[in-house]
Amino acid sequence: MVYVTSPLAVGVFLAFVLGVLALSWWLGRGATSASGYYAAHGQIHWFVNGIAFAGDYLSAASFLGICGMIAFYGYDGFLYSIGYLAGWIVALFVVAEPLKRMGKFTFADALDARFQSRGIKLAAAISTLVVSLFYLIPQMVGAGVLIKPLLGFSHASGVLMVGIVVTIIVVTAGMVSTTWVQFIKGGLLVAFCLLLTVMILRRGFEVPTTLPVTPVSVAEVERQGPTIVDPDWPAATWLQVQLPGGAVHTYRRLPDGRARLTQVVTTGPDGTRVDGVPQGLGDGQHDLTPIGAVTALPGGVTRTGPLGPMAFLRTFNEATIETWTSERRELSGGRIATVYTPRTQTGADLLQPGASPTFRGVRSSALFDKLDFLSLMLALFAGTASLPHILIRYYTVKDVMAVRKSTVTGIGAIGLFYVLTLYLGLGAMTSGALDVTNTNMAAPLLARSFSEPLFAVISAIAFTTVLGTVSGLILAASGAVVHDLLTHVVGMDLTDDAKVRAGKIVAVGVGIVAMLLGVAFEKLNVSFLVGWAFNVAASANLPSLVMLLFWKRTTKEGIVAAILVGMASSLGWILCSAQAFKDVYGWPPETAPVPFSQPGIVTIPLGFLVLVAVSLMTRPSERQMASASGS
Amino acid sequence: MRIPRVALWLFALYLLVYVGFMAVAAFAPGLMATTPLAGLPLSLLYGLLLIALAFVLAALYLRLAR
Repeated sequence: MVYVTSPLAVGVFLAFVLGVLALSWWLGRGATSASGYYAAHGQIHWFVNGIAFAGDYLSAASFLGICGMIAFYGYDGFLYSIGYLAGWIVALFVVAEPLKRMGKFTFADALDARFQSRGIKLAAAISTLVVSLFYLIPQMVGAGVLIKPLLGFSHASGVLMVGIVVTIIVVTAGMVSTTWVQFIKGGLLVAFCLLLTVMILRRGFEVPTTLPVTPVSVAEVERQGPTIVDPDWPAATWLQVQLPGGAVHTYRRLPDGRARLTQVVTTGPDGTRVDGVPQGLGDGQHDLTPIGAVTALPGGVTRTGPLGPMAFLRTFNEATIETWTSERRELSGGRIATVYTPRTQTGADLLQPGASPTFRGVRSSALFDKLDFLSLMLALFAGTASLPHILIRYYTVKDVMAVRKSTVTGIGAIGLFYVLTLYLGLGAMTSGALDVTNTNMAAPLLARSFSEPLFAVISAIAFTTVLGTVSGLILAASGAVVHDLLTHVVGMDLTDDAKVRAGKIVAVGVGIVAMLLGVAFEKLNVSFLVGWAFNVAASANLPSLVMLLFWKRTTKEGIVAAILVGMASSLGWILCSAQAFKDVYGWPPETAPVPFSQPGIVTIPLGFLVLVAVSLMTRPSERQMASASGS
Repeated sequence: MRIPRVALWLFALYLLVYVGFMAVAAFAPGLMATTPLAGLPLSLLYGLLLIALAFVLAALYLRLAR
């Protein structure tokens, strides 16, 4: 769709950015020590930290990705919500407290507390960097993808803007400013999602008077104008009619002899065309029609009026909805057409798992397809407690009690948010405002269907969402490089001041790398990258975190081996998966050597296995054990 | 590094409910489509339960582990 830049949205966004920068600068005057820069002096209030958890965790992928996925496929987006939230249970009950007791600034601190081994520091720092960069790519690309429709700037300028603002936030006051930015963003995000949900419930459902989904007879199509014979569009499937203004309507023939109107986007040497006419809003131009509608409501009514939260879901379950499928067709002359065809689906079907490509496996009868689903759900469950940028937040509060309280606050805020995304997604699906070509725009467009100012604010919040998460990631990476690598692995003897300076320099470096990645991967479909980051984090970090706590015979060699094997195997698996073949390299997915795309279900247990095996092989002698316990 | 015993029990309980969800979704999809309560499908009810349960167990933990 063509988006008209809203000056209001640009204004609100700039006000947000200036506010955040001013806040960082103001806070920056107080954070000059290493403990201030990396851990906010351990003095953040548990409630602020809890909301900051939400601000850190709820990335653009959560907000825009999940809303979009629910808006286009229904229940499958909610599966991500369920998995992402469940991961916090691992964080709270298993990982958080020992991590807090053992560590100081980084996740490597905690792993290494018992051994003082450079090998562990090195392995943990590498895994932190790999996971952080993996997670940074979708955030940065997301910023670029969004800035064009929302604010009218180019992809690269979006990436640069986010990169520069975030680097300034991190460099001015490290964890202190990062925490407050995340707190504000987390609070705003939940508050505005709540507001949107209330508006959705008050609006209820309404069946529009004209629906593209309704099939028409061939005779009726032919009355609109002369039909076209085009070898690119075989008459067995397609029926094209020339309209007076120059546009061509393409109908897909149905088995019952009738035909259904589609929307066709063609790209090629003559630019992007919609239904045969150049895309645009001016004279002689044409743009895609916004989509998303209820086609029938229970009891045959045409509008429901305001609904309660339960009645909303129940009504949706009994309604029928217009959803769209897309099909890519190669035409002559190097042109590529994407055909969007509407269909009716029951709400009940949309509220079942397995409608989207990511979770299709759950409806398949093949065992490997089901394993793909189970593997992703396992990685989401195990990944949260292994994400470095989440773990470092445990060092910003004073004690174990504050760790617990802030995690419970975080779970409350994040859980509420995920319930709200269900309403946002289903509300967007039936809002009549969606862009059929861009799932990520579902939440902002839903806001636009209510009012323009709301659209401006939601767009600005979507950007702040990127800022909050990226600043946490950059900080985690800078801690890993300076605190783990430079100080403990290389053995540099840095003063407190030098540690802060080095941290800032590294943050600038990571910021630049993030911007380059964001520009380089512009074309990459990013929605699954976050899922991959969870797989790598869980495979590399979780086995050693857990075994260190529960198995006395864990050795340092075991930990190093588990981190490296977990990381290498999950990364390798991902790079050999059908999903990577199709979406990253553009190779035929059938040729991928691994049987399913999500590695977690294999590589997480593999990490545990390697840890146990290597630990048993490198068991210290009885005498060493005795002297160790005696010291 | 001791973790309160109650934390591990609560964790085990949640894990059980979560694994139950994965198992039903993957191996008994028909069950997910039934509407056992308030006209809502089990898929939604179970998902909302998992979200609510996470918060309830976390809050319970604050009370139990002092």
